[in-house]
Amino acid sequence: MPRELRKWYATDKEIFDVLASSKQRVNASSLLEIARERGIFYSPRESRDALASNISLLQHDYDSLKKLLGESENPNRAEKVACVTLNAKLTMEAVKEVVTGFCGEASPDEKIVGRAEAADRYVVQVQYPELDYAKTRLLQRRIREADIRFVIEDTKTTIRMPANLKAREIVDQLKSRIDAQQKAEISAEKIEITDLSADDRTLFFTSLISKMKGYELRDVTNVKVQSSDKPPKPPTEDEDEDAEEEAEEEASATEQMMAVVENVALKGQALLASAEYQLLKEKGFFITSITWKSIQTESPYNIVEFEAGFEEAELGTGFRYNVRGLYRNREGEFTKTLIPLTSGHKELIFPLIEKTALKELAELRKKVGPATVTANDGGKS
Amino acid sequence: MKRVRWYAAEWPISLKTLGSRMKAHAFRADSITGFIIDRVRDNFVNGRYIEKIAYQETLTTPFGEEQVFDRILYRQLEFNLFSVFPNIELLDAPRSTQGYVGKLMELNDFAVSLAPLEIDLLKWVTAFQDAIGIEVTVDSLQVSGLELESNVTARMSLSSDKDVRGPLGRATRGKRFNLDRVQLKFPHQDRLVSILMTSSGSAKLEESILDQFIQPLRQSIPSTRSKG
Repeated sequence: MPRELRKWYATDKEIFDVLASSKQRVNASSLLEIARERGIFYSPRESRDALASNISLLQHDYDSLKKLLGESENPNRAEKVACVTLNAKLTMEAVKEVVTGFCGEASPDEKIVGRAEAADRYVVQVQYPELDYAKTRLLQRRIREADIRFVIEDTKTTIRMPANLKAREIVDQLKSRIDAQQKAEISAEKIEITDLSADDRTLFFTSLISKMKGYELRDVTNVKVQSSDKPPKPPTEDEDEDAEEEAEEEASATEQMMAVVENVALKGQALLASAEYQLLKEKGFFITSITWKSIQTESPYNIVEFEAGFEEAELGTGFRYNVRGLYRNREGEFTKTLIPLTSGHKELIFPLIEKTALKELAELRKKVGPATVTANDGGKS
Repeated sequence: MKRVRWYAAEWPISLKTLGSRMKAHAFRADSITGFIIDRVRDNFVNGRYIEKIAYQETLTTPFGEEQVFDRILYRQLEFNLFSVFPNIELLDAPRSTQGYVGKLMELNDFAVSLAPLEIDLLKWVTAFQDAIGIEVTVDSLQVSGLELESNVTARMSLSSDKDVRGPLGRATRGKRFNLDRVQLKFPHQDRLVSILMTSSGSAKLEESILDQFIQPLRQSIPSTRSKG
């Protein structure tokens, strides 16, 4: 096939790569199903590679290719969310005006639509291409959707977005437009713990998981911890003799510290009560992300699984969180498998995580006072 | 029969403080979970952890109508906490103790460490025998992971009307094995009573002899090996 025509067609090799690379989603039975829909019956004992190879050699039109690409995509992609709280009550009209202006200036490969979801909610739906050159050619460019929600409260406006770079960029742009429209810089509150010591960072997470209203903590199944000790910096050239001596000492210290653990991920049950976690905590490690289960204290008394953490674990910035799903209460026993929640259901729970995190953070700051030692300065106590 | 299970714990706060925190989380008519604490001492807390589980049951009548009933279940977990090893004793614990452990973590400011036990049963039996001063007979036991040859393991169950510790020693001489459970018998008040012990630190015994033997059972648990 001439090279210039390749951008219009998918070759059999490219189709094979798509089928072969998504092992989990396009498994042998779904390959058999794809063939069956075309009236071809392969043996269920056929290897996955042979099936993928045979299917890739069939003729595929636009719709069938689209379906194959759809199959290889994870429909329940659990994207974490992030939020920014603006300390001002915006009106729906003001938000609409800003979004309309923003829609008009969108780049040609982006599609932005804004609509009012409720009297106090405005959603901006953004469709944008995401490029990942590490993937096979047909999967390199994928259309992603990001829903950015403006939730107008009594004195604040919360902007909730997927926790990815693109959504954060869009929110930054929208925020500067809002500032321009309001002719003032509205202060934005982000959940960040850069100023907190290692112990207080851990306390932030333990307070978050145990003080969510309407939920009672049941289990902690995943924890990531980060060391608050930083390896010493290598000496610089323009230091004087004394400093050189010190540098030599430092260098030997560096050698001694060759075996350094910077972060540890733990997986299990009741992790915060495990001897391993307690040992790490004693050594100055602090929590940077956590997955926990809590039971609802009101009907229907299900167990809900949450996760929360910081994108920049060491810095304590970029707070992101998610509701992973629930274990349904069936006559007093809980289902074994995690049932994913609809985005509408998640939207009901997100404010609770945000409010608890902001409240606990404010209380920690009040308790600690303005002068704190940050975790990056080795602030373990 | 009553099942007792022990765990090891390292308390970051005194048991008296923990006891009063538990009292502050007392189970009330409108609570979902909570504690009913009977005794608090410097080295001991005795109480129950209660979970109220409410759910709706749907029934379809023969006429095709759906009827919904609100049902309530109460799950109780009786526990004793000690300042010395083994620090936690659970009596007839339900299958899941997640809620209780979660609450223990919270009340201990997330600084408590809990660990299940892994006990050398033969040592436990000997120590228990010494503690009660009565000669006991191990009349049945279960062994797993008995290495017959390289990469060949066996599971074995021995039972007899006499002590099977001798035959176990002869059958496993020089080989690696895990002793999972033992059942011992001994005379008590003109009859034979039995206790089942497992290597994970649990014991099953008749309720009528519980008060008399729970303390020697607990105190004779060898503290040398604990998981985690």
